[in-house]
Amino acid sequence: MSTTATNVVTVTFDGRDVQVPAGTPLVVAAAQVGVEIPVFCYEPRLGPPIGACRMCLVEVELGGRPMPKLQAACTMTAADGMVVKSAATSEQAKEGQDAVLEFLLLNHPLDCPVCDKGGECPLQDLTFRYGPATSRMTLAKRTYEKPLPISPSIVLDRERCILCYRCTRFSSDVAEDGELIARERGAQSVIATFEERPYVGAFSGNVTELCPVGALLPTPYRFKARPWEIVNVPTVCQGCPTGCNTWATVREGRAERILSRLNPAVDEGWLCDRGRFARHEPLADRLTRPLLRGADGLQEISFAAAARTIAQRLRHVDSLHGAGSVAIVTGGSLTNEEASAWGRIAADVHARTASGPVAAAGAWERLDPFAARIDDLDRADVVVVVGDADVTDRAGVLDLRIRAARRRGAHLMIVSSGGTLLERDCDTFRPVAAGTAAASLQALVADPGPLVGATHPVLIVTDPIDLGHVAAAAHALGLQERGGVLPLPTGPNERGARQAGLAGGGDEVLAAIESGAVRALVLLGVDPTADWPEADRWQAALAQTEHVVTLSPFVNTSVSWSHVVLPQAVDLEREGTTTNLEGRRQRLRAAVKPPSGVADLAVATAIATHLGIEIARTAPQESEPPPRAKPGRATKAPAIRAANVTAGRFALVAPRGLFTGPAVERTAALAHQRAPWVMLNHGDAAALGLSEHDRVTVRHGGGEHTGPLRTSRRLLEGTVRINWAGSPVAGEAEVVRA
Amino acid sequence: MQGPTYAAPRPDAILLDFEGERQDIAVYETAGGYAMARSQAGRPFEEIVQELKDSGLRGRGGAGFPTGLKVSFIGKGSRYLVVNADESEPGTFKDRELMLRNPHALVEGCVILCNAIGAGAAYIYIRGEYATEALVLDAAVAQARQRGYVGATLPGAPGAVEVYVHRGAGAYICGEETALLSSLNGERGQPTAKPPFPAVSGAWASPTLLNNVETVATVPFILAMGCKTYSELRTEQTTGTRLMSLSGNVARPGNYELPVTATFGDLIDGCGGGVPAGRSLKCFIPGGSSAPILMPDQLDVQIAVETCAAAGTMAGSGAVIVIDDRTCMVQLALRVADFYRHESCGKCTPCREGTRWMVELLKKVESGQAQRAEIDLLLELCDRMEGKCLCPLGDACAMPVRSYLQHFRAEFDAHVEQGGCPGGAASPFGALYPELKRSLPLVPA
Repeated sequence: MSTTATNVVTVTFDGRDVQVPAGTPLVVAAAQVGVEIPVFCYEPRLGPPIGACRMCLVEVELGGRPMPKLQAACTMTAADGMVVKSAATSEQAKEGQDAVLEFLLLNHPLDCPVCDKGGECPLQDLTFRYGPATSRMTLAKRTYEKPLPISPSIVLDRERCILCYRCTRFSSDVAEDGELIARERGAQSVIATFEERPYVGAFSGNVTELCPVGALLPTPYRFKARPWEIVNVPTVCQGCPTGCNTWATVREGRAERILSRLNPAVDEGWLCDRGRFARHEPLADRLTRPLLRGADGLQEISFAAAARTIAQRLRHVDSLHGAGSVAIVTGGSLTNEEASAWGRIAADVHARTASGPVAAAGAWERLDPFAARIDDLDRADVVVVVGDADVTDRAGVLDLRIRAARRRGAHLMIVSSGGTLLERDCDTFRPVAAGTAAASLQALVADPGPLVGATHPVLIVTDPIDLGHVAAAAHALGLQERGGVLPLPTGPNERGARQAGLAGGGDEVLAAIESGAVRALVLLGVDPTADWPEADRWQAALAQTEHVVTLSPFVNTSVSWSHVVLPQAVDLEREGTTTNLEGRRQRLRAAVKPPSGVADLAVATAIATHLGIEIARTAPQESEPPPRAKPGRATKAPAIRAANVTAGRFALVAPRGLFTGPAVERTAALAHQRAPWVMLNHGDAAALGLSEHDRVTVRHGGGEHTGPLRTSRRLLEGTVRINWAGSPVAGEAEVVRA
Repeated sequence: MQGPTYAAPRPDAILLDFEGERQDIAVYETAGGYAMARSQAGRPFEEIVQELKDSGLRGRGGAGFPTGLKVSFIGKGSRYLVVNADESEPGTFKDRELMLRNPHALVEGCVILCNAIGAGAAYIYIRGEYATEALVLDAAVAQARQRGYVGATLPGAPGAVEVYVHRGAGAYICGEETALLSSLNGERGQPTAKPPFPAVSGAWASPTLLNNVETVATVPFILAMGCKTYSELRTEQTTGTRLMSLSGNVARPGNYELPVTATFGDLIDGCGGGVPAGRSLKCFIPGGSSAPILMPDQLDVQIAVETCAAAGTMAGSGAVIVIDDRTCMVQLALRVADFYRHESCGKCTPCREGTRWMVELLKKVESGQAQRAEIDLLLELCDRMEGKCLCPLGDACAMPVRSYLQHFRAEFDAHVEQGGCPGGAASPFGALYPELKRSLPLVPA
C-alpha cells in the first residue's frame, strides 16, 4: 500500500489493487479492476452522487478496521489502504444488494413483456444477474394512474418508477429548468411536473435515456419496436452545427428513435429535443425523381438525364457569360464529400458561391487564431455570450455546457437585449439595444468587466454578425493567448461547405443576381426564399434567373421557379462526414436508405464527370478540430450602422429558434414546442394595458405573429421578442392586442 | 408483580431549576442570565472548545456525540450555527418546555456559540407544529436585540450575531441534520449523503455547527458553573443533567430534569409515580419510539448514553414511554412502524419500500390473517432495512419492531394462532387508533 504521488491512493477491491486519485468514487475505481458494483441512481453527469438507491452497498475496511455499516460505493470515495468487498466476495454486501433489489421490485409491476424498456433495461438486467427469482410480496402493490403524458413527447409510468431521482436531478441540476419534481413523500413519492404543467424544456427528452427503468419513455417510440428487431446505427445529428453524436435506432428500414452517443468533447451525452425527436418523415411532398421544366411544367426525367442537363447548362452559361454568371449556394446540409464535389464544379464553371445568408458572418477563418473548442467550456473561468439569439437556438447542447461551466464556478456574462434563457442564471447581465451585437463587442473591449484577469475566457456570439467585429474584439481582448471564441455557423455543415470551396454569402449572390450578372443559380439543400433574410428579394431574384437548379428533399417554394429539380437525401440517409462548429470532422452513416435512386454524391459526381472533372472516391475520414492558427495583426472592426426605431413602434428580435425548419414542422411530437409567443418588457406590457397570457399580435416586415404574451423584466423597454418560424426578419414591429 | 421501589431523586436541576417561566428577559437577567454572553464574548475559540470538551457535554438530540469535539470539527470560512428545534421523535417534548419556560437560555447559548466560532448568524429550525414556542422565541430574540445581545457586537466579540427563528413545515425527517439543512437551504427536506458533513458544508453550503436545543441551552450554565463543577455530576462517559420526557401509562407524565446518574426507575417510579394502580409495568421505551424497549427488570439502568448502550438500547432523545400490561405489542409495533412509514422521506430505497411493507405485514399479523412465516419475514425485513439506509430513519423503524419481536414473540404468534388480537378490547390501542386498525390509505386519492 504505497502512494506514488500525494494524491494517488491504493484501494483493494475483492483482492485486486487499483491506484486511483484520492476522491474517486468507489464505483468508478472498482470498474477499473473489473469489479462490477451495480448502480441505479449514480450518474456523474448529474452532479455529485446522492446515494439514494443503495444498490451499490459494499463492505469497507479502512485502516484495518471494518466500518460498522455497509457503505454506498457511489458516495464513498477512495482513501489509501481501503479494502472494499463487493457482493461477489462479501456475504454482508450480498445481503445488502439482495435487500435493495427485493425492495425495488416490491411494487414494480414486472410488466417487462409489454414494457418498451424490456431488453434494454438496467433494472431488468441487474435483476436477471443478481435478483431474487421469486417475490415474497404477498400484499397489494401500489398502483397509479398510467401512463401519464408529462409532455407531448414523454410519458410517465409511476408504477415502474424506482425513484432514483435521475430525471429530477437532470431537470434541476443540468437543464436547470426545475420543471420535473418529486412530490409527496415516503412510499407515496412520485415524479411529477411542477404544478402539473407540461415539461416543455428544450432538453426534456434526455430524461427518457437517463431513466433506468421503463418509467419515462419517448411517446413516439412507444410500442414501436423490441430490442431484438432493431439496429442502432452510430451517426451524427444534423440539426445544428454542434454535431452531437447519436445512435439511430432502425427497425425494418425506418429510423424510429434517436439516442445520444456519448462524446465528452462534443455533447457530454446530451441531446436537444429537436435532435432527438425531429424527423424528416417521408411524406407526400417528398421528391423522389428529378424534374425538368418543359412546356407542360415540371416533368420527371432520369437521374442521368438530369445530371447531363445540369452540366450542359452550367457549362453553357459559363462559356457564354463568363466568370460569375453561375452561382452555387448551399445552407450547410451537404456532407463534406458532396460539398467537395460541388466545390470542384463551382471552380470549373467559375461560379460565385455561398454557404450561408451573410458573407461576413460566415468568414470565420478570421477567428482561427482565437478558435476555442467546445470542451474549452470545461476549463472556462469566464463565459461571455453576446447576442439577442439564445444559445439554444443556434447550438442546442452548448446551452447545457455553459450551465455546467457556471456550476463549476465560471462567471457567466450575458450581453443581450434580454429575454434569453441563460440570463436568469447569469452572474453579469449587460443590457444592450436589439441588433447591436457588433457595437456591444466594442463596448466589451472598452469595459471587459469579468474578462479582466480571466485566464480561460470563452466568447460566444449568437447573432450572425460580421465576424470582423468578433475577430477585432477577440484580438483586443487578447483571446489569442487565453481562452478563445466559439463561432456559431448558421447551417449544420456550413464550415465544411466553406472549406470545400463554397465560401461566400447569400447577400453577395443576391446582389449579383439583381444586377443581372448571374444567369444560372444552383440551390443545394437551401431555400433562400424561406430560410434566409430578404425572402421577397430572393423570390424576385429567382424569377428573373434563366436557369435555376434546386436540390431539395421536399417541394419547397424555390421549386416553383426552378428549371431542374433534384431530389435530395435527408438526415439519417446520408453517408460521409460533416464538420461541426469547432472544425471537428465526424462520420455520418446512412441509417436508412433514401428513396430509390436518390444519391446526392453520385449525382454531383455525374455532373462533374460531364464537365470533365474526375472525382476520386475516398473513404470518409474523421478528424479532430484543427490546431489554432498563428495570430495575425490586429484587424480593424467594420463600421457599425445604428438602427433607430420609430416612436411608438418596437425593435424586433426574432431569432430563428431551435424548433423551426422543415424537420420540426413535420414532427407531431414537437408541435407544442412551436406554439408562438410574444415577449415584452413588463413595463411596456403595462403601458399597452396587456398582461401575461393575453393574446398579442406583432406586425412586422415578414407578416403577422400572434401568440400569448410573456413578460420579462430583463427584456429592454421598446423591444419585442417573438419566436418567429418564418424567414428571418428584423427591424421594427407594431404590437397590438389580438 | 411488585418491583423495587424508587425514591424521587435529588433535584439537581440546571436548566429548569425554577417554578414558572422566564420568558421576560429582565427575569432571566436577574437570575444571572446573559452574564456569560457578555463575559465569554471575547474568549478564543480554542478555550471554549476546551471548556466544552472538559465538561463532558454530549449532544442531547439523540446521538449523544461529544459537543466539544463537534465544535472543534467546524471548517474554515463563513460559519453558521443551526439549532435543531425540530423535536419530532414520538414521546419527546423536552425542548418544547425548555423553549417555553427558558427561551433566553437558548438565545444566550446561540450568542455564546456564534461568538466562539465566529458565526454571524444562528438559525433556530423549529418544527412547524410548535407555533406558540416559535412566537415565544421570536419575542425572546426581539428582547435580546433590544438589550444588545443580538444584532450588535458585544465587547470583545468578533462581530454581531443575528438569531433567526425558522419554522419547519411538518416533517419528522427534518430533525435529521442533513435533511434539516436541505430544508433550511430551501430544498426538499431530504437527507443527503455524508460527507460532506455539516461542519464542512451545511447552511448555505458553509461550515455549520448544528446542535440540539437542550445542548445549546446548557452551554451558558456550563460556562457559568465551570466545566469542572458540571462534569462532577457524571457517570463514566456522560455528564450533567438531562431533560427526560415521561409519557405513556404512568401516573404523573411530564418533563423531569435528572442527573445522568439517575435510573429509569428513579424517573418512572420516583418522579412519575409508576404505572397507575391495578396495572403492572410491561416494558418501557427509554429514548424515543425508535429505541429498543427495556424490560421491568432493567429499571435500574442509568439514563446515561453508555449505560443505555450497554443495556442494548439507546438514550436517544430522553423520551421515556411507559407501557403497561394491557398493551398489545403487535398493535404498538403497528402504531410505531406506521409513524415511520408516514415520515419516511422517500429518498432511499430500503426505507421507502421497507417501512410500507412492514406496516402492511403488521396489519396482516394484527388482524390475524398472517401466517407464522410472515412473522419471521418481519424479522428478516428488519435485517434488510437496518444499516442499509441513507439516514437513520429506516433503522428507527426496524429497531423497535425487532425488540418487540425479541421480547414478545409469543404475542405475535398468538395473533396468528387465534386469528386476531388475544387482548381484544382490553387494549387501549383499538380505541385510540381506529383508523389505523381499519386500513391505511396507501395510494393518494
